[in-house]
Amino acid sequence: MSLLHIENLKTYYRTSKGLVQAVDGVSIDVRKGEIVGLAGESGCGKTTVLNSIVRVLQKNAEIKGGRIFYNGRNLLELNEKKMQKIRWKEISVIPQSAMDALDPVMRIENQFIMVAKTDERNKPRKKISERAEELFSLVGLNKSRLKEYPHQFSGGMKQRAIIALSLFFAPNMILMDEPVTALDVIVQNQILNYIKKLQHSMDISILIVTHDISVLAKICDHIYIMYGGKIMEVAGTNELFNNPLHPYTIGLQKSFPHLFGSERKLISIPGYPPSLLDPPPGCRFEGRCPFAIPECRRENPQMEKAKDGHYVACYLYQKIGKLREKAFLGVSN
Amino acid sequence: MIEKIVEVEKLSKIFLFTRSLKEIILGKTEQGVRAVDDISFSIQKGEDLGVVGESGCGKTTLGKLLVRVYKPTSGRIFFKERDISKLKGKKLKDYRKKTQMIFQNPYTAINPRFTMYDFVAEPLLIHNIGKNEKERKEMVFEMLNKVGLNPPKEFSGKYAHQLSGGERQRAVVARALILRPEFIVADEPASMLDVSLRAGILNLLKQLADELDLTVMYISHDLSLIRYLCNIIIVVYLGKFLEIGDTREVINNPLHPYTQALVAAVPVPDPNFKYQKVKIKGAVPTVPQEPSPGCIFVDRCPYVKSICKEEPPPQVKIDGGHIVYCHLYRGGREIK
Repeated sequence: MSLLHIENLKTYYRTSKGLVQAVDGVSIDVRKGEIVGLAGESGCGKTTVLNSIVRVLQKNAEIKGGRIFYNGRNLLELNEKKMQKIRWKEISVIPQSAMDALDPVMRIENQFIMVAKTDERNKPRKKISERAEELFSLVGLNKSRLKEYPHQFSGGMKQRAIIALSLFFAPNMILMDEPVTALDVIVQNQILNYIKKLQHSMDISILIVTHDISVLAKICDHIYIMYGGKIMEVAGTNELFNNPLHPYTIGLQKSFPHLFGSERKLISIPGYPPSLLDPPPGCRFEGRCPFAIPECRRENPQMEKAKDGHYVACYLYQKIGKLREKAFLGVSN
Repeated sequence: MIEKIVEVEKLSKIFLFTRSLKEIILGKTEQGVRAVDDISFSIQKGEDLGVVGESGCGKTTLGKLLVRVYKPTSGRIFFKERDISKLKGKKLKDYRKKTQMIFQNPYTAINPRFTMYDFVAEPLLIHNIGKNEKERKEMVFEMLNKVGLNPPKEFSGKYAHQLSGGERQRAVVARALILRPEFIVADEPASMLDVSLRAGILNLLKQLADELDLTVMYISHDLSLIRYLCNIIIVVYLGKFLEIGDTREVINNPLHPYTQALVAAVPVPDPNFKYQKVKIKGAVPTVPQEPSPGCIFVDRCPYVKSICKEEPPPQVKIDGGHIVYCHLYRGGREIK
């Protein structure tokens, strides 16, 4: 059974120009002990999905529909007070640019105390410190550094400190928003290995949001590809990379340079994502898709099962093999 | 004949810290960050050179020195056999006509009050090129067309906020190329763009470099990107070169322990890829160090020997222009 089951989630933003349909009917499953990746470009709504799960949305955002089951309970039915008990303890979040998420004028240890006191006002300081020290050694930081301020830490160390903080109540699930984006490759590699270790040793489920599919290739069990507020394709990591069916997924893969692979020309996907203010009735990728047929413009394709565990929202997925050979040859730009 | 377009000799740039009044009175010696530390190399005409390193390794400083945004602390830079390291005033302005830089962030590189026409035409006005407005207009339109901002007429009236990130970066490229420079420094030209647009800019740069007979020095933290664009690669660490060579050779057969770690750490878009183990730990030290007599990488090197702390690493030439600065290769490739 899934630990987290999101069903047809719709989160819209109210703006002066109208409703922005940032997340429009997204369904995601995360099983226990699994690392799931959610990939997409900026503005595709991937961060809004995360924020909707723990309900830390901006004021003008509204969850218009859908259900979010965590351990069988619908989180959207819980009131704020009950939700408070879920955050940190059951599901913790590592926000985007987590390195700036630490309070610069507070010692790291005190930030642990702040987190601890969300649960229990009078929790003895000593206990908190012990737990903090335990977590610090777990993420490979020296416990003496708990007394330091964030500016005395390097980027990678801050990222580790944030991960330690998110583990304080031993949650079952961590949501990570671009956890390694601002880091140098060697540090990035350390953090990724560490995340993988967490999954194995503590059986934690992790949902990672990022634009970098090579990071996902390295650590995820399943990958969701998101575009323009909708999920385009879902598959196990191997299946998705070896047998991508959605034109957008294929385009994404072709736009990444590979350090060792063949030296083919990189492909850029011409055009830009549609405005989510008044999205087209058809497929959201239609305007940039090299294979689009008239049907794509009329109606949005539904998620279809292509294979066990491989779902895709595209009218043409059965023919994609042939189309792929033809189309991406000679497309430059 | 192969023509050297840029040649650098023992180039250094040290950014000094400001001393407090107390420290000045007490006679404390001036300290600084050695961003570029005693390096020498040359770039041949038409070569695409890639400088790769982690943040804070001095790669951007090196780029800015070559286009003379910064003045070197010591050492010399030759552009077509002419020393440009100490140029000032009018002569410096003339030099800048021939070299340009493409900056990293297209969201801050464009004056928000300029239309794209103003933005791209500004270098022409500064250098007094083009007889009249009409001629300049032709040049700007031609360049906008070249970088793919079509139709130029429409784009020339737009402001930066009306453009997407990819279009902005194209405008930045147009401005850098309008003077028809011979040498370009491209500092992380695609890192601020969305993945699906990155390839577009990279392919554009590649194509324009060929078309306009440009020599380009790319600066990036991304090894895969450098591999895609460049034929020569330089690995930089804390202001020093560690390894230079043919891009494929360096990536497939890295010699320096740091390069080996870099290559092993790069994530690859292939879930079945077998990664090598990254042997080094920690991150680039941020605290500036006292100039030590030994190798700069000594604190993180997994193979460190006593000689590494005492003597600077020798320049070891392997073959085919592959050069590594490391004690491990003293006797050539075999000894390790």
